[in-house]
Amino acid sequence: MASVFGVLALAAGAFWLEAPGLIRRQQFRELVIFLVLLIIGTVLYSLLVLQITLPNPFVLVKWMFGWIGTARSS
Amino acid sequence: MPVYMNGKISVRQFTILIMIGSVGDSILIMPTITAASSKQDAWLSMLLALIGGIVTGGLFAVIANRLQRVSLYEAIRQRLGLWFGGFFFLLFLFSSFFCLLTLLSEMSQFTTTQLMPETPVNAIILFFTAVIIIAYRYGVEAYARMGELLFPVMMGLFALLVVFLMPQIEWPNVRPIMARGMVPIIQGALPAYCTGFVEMVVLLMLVPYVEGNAKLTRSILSGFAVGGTVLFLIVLLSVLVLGPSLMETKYYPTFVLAQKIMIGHFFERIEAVMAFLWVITVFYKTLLQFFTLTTGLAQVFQLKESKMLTIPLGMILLVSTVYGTPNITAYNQLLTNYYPWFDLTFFLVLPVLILILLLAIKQKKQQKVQN
Repeated sequence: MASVFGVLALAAGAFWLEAPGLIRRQQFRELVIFLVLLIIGTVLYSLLVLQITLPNPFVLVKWMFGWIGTARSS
Repeated sequence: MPVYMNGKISVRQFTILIMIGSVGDSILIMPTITAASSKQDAWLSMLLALIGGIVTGGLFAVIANRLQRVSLYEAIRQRLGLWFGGFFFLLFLFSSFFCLLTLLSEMSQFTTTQLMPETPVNAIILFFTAVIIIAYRYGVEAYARMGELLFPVMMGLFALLVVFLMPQIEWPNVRPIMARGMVPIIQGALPAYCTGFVEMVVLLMLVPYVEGNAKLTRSILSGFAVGGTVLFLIVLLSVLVLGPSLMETKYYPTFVLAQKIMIGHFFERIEAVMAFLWVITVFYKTLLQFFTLTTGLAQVFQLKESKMLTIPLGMILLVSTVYGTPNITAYNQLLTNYYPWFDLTFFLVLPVLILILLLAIKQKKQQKVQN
């Protein structure tokens, strides 16, 4: 649980670092993109520290090119 | 013009970034991967990959010169439109993302298996990503200058490695030459070609930052030639000093090479110093890929700044790396069986398609003007 607080602290730190400047410069598109990515990153990192299994991103690569490996081995 | 497009680097710095980037992670893993297919002919595989790499460098130079210092995304968008061009470019960024996962994975696995076995993998990835983020935030000019400073150090360490290992060369290790024909050599050349040269298509993202209007052909070709020669010498040295069986079984043969350096029983165990060479090259290749991903996303979303994307992207990359390559065995299987084809499709076929479309669309515009 402490690790999750660490992740949230990291996210809060990133928000504190970037958001005020973006708001001051009225860069709202940048702020929205930043927040979306930050939320995604925070959720994923929290799931990682909670040791919840997530899909392997390289499954996509294996799905696209796995038939080549199978053809070569046969 | 967005803030992140303001930096300028010299042609020399551009060349050095290509040299360091093409060595990249290949210096760590290529001897094992090439030897797995071609055994004692691994040096021939690397030579074949080098020749292919220089030809590919020529292709990238054609694209780079045609860009005329305009960003790759902008050039695609002007010719293919917002949505189609954006889709094409997102495919390019998609491949950069996966390349980053492999680089982070290699760096963390190398560090935990060879240098700091007690340190958790997540911590290594976290600190490495943090350094990449800091380097990116300083801007392209800063890390290009740093590359200029580190390049002599890198080449000096490499020269030391070659010179000090020469007494341990055993020429019979290369025999028999081509005993199993060309097929294993070509099989060994493919991952070397993809990892060392094809993945360096990200140099196209640096083109808008290169000062002046001179052609970049010589710069790109010399970068690939020098980087490729370093890799060739590393693989050749691995064959000559370690032999094919040891090359195949050890995960990081260049680290074993460094461990073998022994001068008069007082100059030995310098592999940690040599590790600095690998850290430089892997760091720069990772930085170039991260630069591509972050700056590319900022261009696609038409953002005025890109620095705020670094920390969230770093978090996503860390998680994806941990889940994507849970151990070295899974990673090696991926690298041997699937990943070279992924590289070929997204880092070679895609740029070729982009070049064809760039030429075709421009020719259509010229025909319209003539009519």
